[in-house]
Amino acid sequence: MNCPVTTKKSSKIEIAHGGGGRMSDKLIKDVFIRNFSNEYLDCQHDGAVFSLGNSRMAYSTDSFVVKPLFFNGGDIGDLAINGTVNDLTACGAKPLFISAAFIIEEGTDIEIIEKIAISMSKAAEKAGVKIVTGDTKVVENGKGDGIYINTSGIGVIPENVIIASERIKAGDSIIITGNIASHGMCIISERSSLGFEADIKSDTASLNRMIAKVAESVDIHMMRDPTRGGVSSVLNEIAESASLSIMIEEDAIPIEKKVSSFCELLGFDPLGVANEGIMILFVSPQDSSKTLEILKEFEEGKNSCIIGRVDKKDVTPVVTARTIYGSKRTIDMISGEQLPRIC
Amino acid sequence: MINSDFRDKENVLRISELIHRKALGDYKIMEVCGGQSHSILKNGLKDLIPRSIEMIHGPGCPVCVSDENKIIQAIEISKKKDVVLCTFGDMLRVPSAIGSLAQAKSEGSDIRVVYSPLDAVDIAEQNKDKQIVFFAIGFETTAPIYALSILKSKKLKLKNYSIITCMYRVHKVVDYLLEDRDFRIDALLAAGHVCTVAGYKDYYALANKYKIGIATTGFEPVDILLGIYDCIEMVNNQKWTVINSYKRAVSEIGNEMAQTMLNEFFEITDQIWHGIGNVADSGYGLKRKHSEFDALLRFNIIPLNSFIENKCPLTDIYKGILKPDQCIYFNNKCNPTSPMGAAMVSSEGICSAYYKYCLNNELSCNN
Repeated sequence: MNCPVTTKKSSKIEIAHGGGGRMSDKLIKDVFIRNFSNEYLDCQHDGAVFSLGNSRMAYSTDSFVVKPLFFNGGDIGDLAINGTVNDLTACGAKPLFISAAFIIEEGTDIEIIEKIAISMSKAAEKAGVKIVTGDTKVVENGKGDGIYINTSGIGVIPENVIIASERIKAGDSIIITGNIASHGMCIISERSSLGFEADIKSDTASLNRMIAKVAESVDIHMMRDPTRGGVSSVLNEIAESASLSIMIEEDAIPIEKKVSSFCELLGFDPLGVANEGIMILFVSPQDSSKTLEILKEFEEGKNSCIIGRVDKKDVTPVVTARTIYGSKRTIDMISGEQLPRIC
Repeated sequence: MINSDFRDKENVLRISELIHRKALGDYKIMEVCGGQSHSILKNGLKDLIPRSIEMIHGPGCPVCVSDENKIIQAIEISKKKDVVLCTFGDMLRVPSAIGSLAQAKSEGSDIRVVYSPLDAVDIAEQNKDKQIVFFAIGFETTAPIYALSILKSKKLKLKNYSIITCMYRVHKVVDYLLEDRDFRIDALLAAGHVCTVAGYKDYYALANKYKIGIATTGFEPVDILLGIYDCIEMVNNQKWTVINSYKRAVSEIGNEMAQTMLNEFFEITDQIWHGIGNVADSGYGLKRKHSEFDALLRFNIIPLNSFIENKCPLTDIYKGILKPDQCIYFNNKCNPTSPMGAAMVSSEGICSAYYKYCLNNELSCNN
């Protein structure tokens, strides 16, 4: 029988719309940016940058729906603080004030909420930020997964710091501050019923102190923290907004052996897996060794390395990896979700 | 990033050099398995072999070839009350005439991604008030695990576990494609994982019938290049036989225990391959004595046995007539967010590999 069919268009939100890849990107552009468009939002950075009086400020927000609430290396509480601190940091700001809003499910143990609050307080202290305002809502049993947290934050950008994709130049070095894919694979190892322990620790950490130290002596052109969507999404987004192609060296990308093996086992591309405690920096090649030197002074930055360089201006910019064999392939943005509810 | 002897740079470059030395003419080699296609493109292996070797990307991606009728039926079952449909993650975004499983999930169906059918049996044991259905897609490699899941369900005396069978026999479809007299290849990389279960005894007849060299081949760069090397040797010597280039995993007879398990529960049937058509004896269905585990019977689903023609020109791609990036729909009407065929969304799909590893790049995935 010859019966050509047309495929049904999707009209409802799918889990993949929250994955940080192409589907998220499309939802954000088609619905949110189209309706909210303004000069700050349209930059599509991790936060908005604006001037108040003589100060340049950064403002960012993030919601956390991670499942499970507690995992190896952290919990939803420190994740919520570190996430917003790092988003502000990626704007070049020194994070100062944080708001915290909780949507709690009826029946959740208060002990759990307190444990999360203690963890948030410790993370805030470590990052040097204050939680200054908040909100609490409770939803009926079965309508939430224990607790969801939204945090937003404000920070001040030092005068000499300008983080923008337009500042990236051909030849810039691309530096990553730590091992990739640890957070995402930690969450899946805790969640899945594979019948074995992978013992992978999340990398959740605030990076503001380390990055501030770098920014004191190095002109960082651009930076982003590769959370959902991973390194591949961030590099593709930056390449697109800067209209520059990027070349990375596959064997330079730092990853823990057990994380890469676990990715391999489950068929995940580590470059598309979420991170919660690393930053990708673009600096002039002459600044790269100084940058690495400073980063390596910090525990969070001890595995820092150069993973590639900015190639050339391109109408259709592309991220390419040189494999260990010297051959080349494209690094594409992930399309659907590799794994939902990771942060 | 990851290193092992089978990814070792020196080993890869040494075999690459040997291939360059041996390749005297033009060769058309089909790698059957989607996992091999991805490994070739991900590792840029086409850069490491002479241009005179054309790789044809074969039909060995079980998600890509899954019969659209079965997806429609799976969605239909998932919409029934108290049904949990379990499947592998890759199936979620495969398009059908009535949408994808991911869309059905967003519309309220309880569809869960699991890593093994045995997980679905666990779900059945823990949720006796629900019917747990596994969408059993795959090749000879996966079929024994479905058999195991039924066995486990029987032992636990579960009345709430059933499967939708959508299982395929790889060498049968290769035979079917090669029957087309206009389609010629010189050699074949047989799918390593399938051969670990099924062995490679069935391939001797294929090698002889079509005068091709066949190498059972693994998935790592060293494995693939070794397979290509062995193929070139066979073609150069006009030796139409099977060489086992994946000795660490494959034997001629395969895994007899898995085959016994498979034969206990399943029998050979005709099967519809998406993008290809109905191929005789190319699938597995539940034996009559185990039909209580057939989800289509359990839920009184009307059998759909006609081949649904799709605009997606998969057969031409499998025959190498068309490379994925030469398809008129590639990266416009067909892309990972709105796919026209499973090959664009499956992690082993060839169009997904072209999209992921070659898109917009000066270097081409074609040689």
